[in-house]
Amino acid sequence: MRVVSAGAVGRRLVPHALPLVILVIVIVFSIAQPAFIKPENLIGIVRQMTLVGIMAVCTTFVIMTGGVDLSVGPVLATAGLVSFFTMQAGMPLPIVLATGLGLGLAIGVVNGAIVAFLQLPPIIVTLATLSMVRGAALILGGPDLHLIRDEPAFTFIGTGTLFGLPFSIILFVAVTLAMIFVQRRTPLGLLVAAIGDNERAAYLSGHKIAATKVTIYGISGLGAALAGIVQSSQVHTAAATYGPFGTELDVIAAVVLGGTSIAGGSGSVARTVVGLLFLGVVSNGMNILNVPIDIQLMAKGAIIVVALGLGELK
Amino acid sequence: MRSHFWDRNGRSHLEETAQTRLNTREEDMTEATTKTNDQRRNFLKGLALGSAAIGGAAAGLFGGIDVTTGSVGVQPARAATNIKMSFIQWQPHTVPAAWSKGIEEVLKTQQVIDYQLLDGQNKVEVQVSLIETLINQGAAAIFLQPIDSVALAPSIAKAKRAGIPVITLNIDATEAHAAHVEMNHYFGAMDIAKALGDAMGGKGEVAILNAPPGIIIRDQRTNGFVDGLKQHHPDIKIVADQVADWDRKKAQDVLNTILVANPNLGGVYGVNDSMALGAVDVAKEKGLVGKLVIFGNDGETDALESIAAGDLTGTQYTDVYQQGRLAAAAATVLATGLVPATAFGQQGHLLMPYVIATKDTVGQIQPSQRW
Repeated sequence: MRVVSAGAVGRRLVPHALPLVILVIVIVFSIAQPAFIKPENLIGIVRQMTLVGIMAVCTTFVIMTGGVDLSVGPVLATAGLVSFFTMQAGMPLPIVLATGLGLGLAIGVVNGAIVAFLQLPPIIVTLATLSMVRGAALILGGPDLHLIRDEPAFTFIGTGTLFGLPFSIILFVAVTLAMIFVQRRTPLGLLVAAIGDNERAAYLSGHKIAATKVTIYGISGLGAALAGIVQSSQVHTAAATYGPFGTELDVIAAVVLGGTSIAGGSGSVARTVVGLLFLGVVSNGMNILNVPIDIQLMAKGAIIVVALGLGELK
Repeated sequence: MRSHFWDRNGRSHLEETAQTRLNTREEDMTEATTKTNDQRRNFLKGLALGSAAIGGAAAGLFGGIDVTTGSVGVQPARAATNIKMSFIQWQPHTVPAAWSKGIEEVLKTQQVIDYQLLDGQNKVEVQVSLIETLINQGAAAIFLQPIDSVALAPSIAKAKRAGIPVITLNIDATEAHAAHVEMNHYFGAMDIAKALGDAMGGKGEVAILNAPPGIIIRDQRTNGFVDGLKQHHPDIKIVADQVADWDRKKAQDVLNTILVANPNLGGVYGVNDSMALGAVDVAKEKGLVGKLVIFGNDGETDALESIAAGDLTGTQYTDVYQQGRLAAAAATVLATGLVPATAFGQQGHLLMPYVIATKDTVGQIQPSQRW
């Protein structure tokens, strides 16, 4: 039998620190409350991740280039509202979805174009769009909650089940797989990492920096719009105040926790999923154990610091 | 006593018309008994404006209105200037929108009052600067839905020093002000607990879908419910109390999780209607409608419709249009009666009447009262 040193094992495990931490947390929660490990709860965990999940997966590329998209919250609200109003106008579902998603894509493309061509800092640009899109949503929707009634096809997106799984989960998995494919198998994925690593070098190598940026911000906007449609479908309502201040931080937190560098360069869509799982497991476990909110907030913060600290141990 | 002009300190600074009015008052006084006069004098002295500057400002503000008849045009130069009242809301939402509608209904009939709705954009600093602006413009009254009970206290104090009555809606502030008009959070929640317990047959397990901490109405609505259960249904056990951020989607997620750990759950109390409706979504999905007793709090239209459809068990309904009207009525009386903010030793409180709306009672709520 070969003797393996603890150090060597440790070095092997370091890249998998977060998944290991998740495993430990799952075991701890399962012992404290056996119901935690029930399949319906595990499905519940993934389902709770879907909204932030779709947005985080779609915005990972933006963060990998050293950028950020703060406008996801209002885009989410606006996409829901636009879908509601096109539905009210009697449009069929494909047009409803196309309008909602198209709007998100358009806002993202505008973000990307301003960042790429005017060379403005993404944080300022998307902060400005955050404000403008929220204003537009308020003009469109006013202060009211718009109830979505008798739209079975639209409601299916958020609440239906397919092959025994909630459709929103299938949607989230599909989006994630698509983004992983784009990252691993298309030039765009490589280019994103190259821009984040050294934008100047990527530019001098003859890569299309501007087009790439427009594309990835477009994807981010598209993701936010999809999340908005799923949310409106799940809560049967559209409102201008959905996706409140803080939504963008949840999204960024999931991406960064997964190990994507906020300064750009390293990162991946798969890691974002791990970050999402981590946050989802922790918050679900706290709820199932009925931990009071004050303790919850402290424990969540502590677990995050410990988990990231373990990942940095070399 | 006909005239109600109280700016005694400002006498030397007041213009001729005001002086004439004071003289008129002096004449009127002879009709009243000396004792009442003295009492009134002392009372007025207490109420009198602190500084001549403020007195002057108030005279300038109200000089254009004959307070006895309520008509405009005593002084032609000022006849064109209406007094201003503003409502600073938290952020656009159905409740402040309904308040504003109620306020406007009352104020627009007064003819001499201009009313506007201002938006706090969910930011304390925006509300602070809006109050600042209103003070500088010389508003006659400010309606406020404070985002933060503590952080806005200095602004309210400043408005008070400027003689402007502040009336808060639903969320109180730590600085005493003219009046506070609120939904009956605490006692209403006690009645919810009673109705929910009755519907559950006086026993079983209950979960609370709660608001995030840091806002007083969360505590009022939760404590009222907990105390109500203790008083009316001591056998009902609260097995879970989790935060769902006022949000329907979060409420769905949280209740799904709670149900995994507590499959025998018999009742859910949503601290607002959105969260209760999230619970209804879960009940529908899991086939628990009718088995799970779900109560909300607020009484918004969606919730009332859900009650009528037999999905939501009940909610505490408050007529928020009426709440706005009552606040506006109070403000109008204060402003046209020339009662300055400095006159208030103690803050007034008004708790709104409410209905515990269930399938039996929801029909009483008229379409015009739904918001």
